[in-house]
Amino acid sequence: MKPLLLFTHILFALSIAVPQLGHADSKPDSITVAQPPRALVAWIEASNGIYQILTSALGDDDKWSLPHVQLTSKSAIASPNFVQLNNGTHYLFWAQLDQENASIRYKTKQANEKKWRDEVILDEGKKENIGISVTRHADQLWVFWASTQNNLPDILYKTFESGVWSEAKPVHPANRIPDLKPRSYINDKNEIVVEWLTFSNIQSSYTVAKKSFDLKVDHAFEPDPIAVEDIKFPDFIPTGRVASAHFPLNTYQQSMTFSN
Amino acid sequence: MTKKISNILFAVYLAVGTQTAYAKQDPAVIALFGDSILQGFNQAFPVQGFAMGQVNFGRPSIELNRILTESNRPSIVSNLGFGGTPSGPSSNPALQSSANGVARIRNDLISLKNQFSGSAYFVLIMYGTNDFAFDIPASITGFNNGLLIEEANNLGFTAIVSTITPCDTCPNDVNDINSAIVDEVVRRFNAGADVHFTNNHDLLRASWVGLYSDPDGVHPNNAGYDRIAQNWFDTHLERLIEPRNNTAYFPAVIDLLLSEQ
Repeated sequence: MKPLLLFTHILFALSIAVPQLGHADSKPDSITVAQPPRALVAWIEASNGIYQILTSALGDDDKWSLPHVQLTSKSAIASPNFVQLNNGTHYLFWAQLDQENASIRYKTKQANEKKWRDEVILDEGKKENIGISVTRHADQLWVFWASTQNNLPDILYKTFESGVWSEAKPVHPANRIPDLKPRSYINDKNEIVVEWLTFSNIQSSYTVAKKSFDLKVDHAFEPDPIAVEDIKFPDFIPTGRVASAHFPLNTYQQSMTFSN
Repeated sequence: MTKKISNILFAVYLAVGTQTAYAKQDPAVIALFGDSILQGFNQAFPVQGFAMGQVNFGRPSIELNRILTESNRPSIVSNLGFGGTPSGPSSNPALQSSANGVARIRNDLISLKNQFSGSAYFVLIMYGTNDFAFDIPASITGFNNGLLIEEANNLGFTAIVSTITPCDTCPNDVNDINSAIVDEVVRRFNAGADVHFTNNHDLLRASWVGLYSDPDGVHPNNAGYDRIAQNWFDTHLERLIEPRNNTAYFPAVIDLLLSEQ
């Protein structure tokens, strides 16, 4: 009996110890959430010419998970956006900045998958990237970004529905001023709104421009369950680093950028 | 005798009249408009803040003034460099600098014009080295330089725009910035702007380390500033600023007149 009892104790101890090993950081492709977290954050860290996107999730216990590396690149990267849909599918969007080309890329992972699928190029052939913003509505994704073409950054967007991406379209008419840092959300009129910074020649400074897209749905407004202003972001994100946050449970304010 | 007196009087009239005209010929007014580099900052001259238009202040201003004076082109060389500032506004409110180039050029050049009457007005622009610290990408540095050209022209200044000098410790790519500056200068020139271009980056690049760079790798040393000043003169100012009238022949004329009998 004693050896059997000892063996049982060992098995019990292992059943506790093994899940703890899963919390080690820098373990890619390990994030799988049973239910949407209250918030997801993504940021970039770089060292010795290697760039990584790290993410963390805020659970109901008000604790942030340990950082996980979701992407490693030898090219400079920017503007990470980590999004979770209602069905548990994860999307990771980012800009890759090669010498002459800034491409917008993404990859996906279904709820029951452990590995990310191959990355997809959403847009390329431009220079610089100054912001990406993603908003979901039902099965749609709206992705806005700023890239430089014709010597100055402009805001472009694509929509994703029924497995198909639209063509990249400009948000605003062609102009000779910088347009950058898009921020998108859904308003109480069931419109997707994108705001961005645009240069005012009159003020010689940046002002906020806005454009709305009618979602053509009609449902009553209900307040978002997550009050964004109450979220305390993790302090393990390096100070001064611009990070993005996504709130899977929210309908209206789904994302924001912040820095510690 | 009467003829001799007449000749003397005529010669005196000619000399005085010419000298009076000479005195009325205003100097060229030249503004150095940029950050600490145009201010002349380096280890030997660790100036801070705004040069406030001081004349013959900072190595670039002093050296350019010397070159112009020796070439009989007396000028007012005013230092409008403002250390640590970007070329234009930042899109990040937390990084805003009210002393950015686009925000201050109008008032600075108006003040200069109010202070000095010039036969011609020039602004030497070199701006963008600090832009990385203000979240300003290269394309917008180029755009900002275009706004500086436009405002300078609006106020009657000929703009002479330079690429930014090498920067060993800047995280941004200086080549991207300079490409954007060149593109904007060309675009403005083709649209009719009164603008000229100098490439002070390439001028210094080959000998930056060891000859023209201050120990911080960001600012030129005095040899570097002297080289820049000479380049401004050689490429544009020598051609754009007329030398003063040569009055050396007057003594000879007077001798000739006095010798007639």
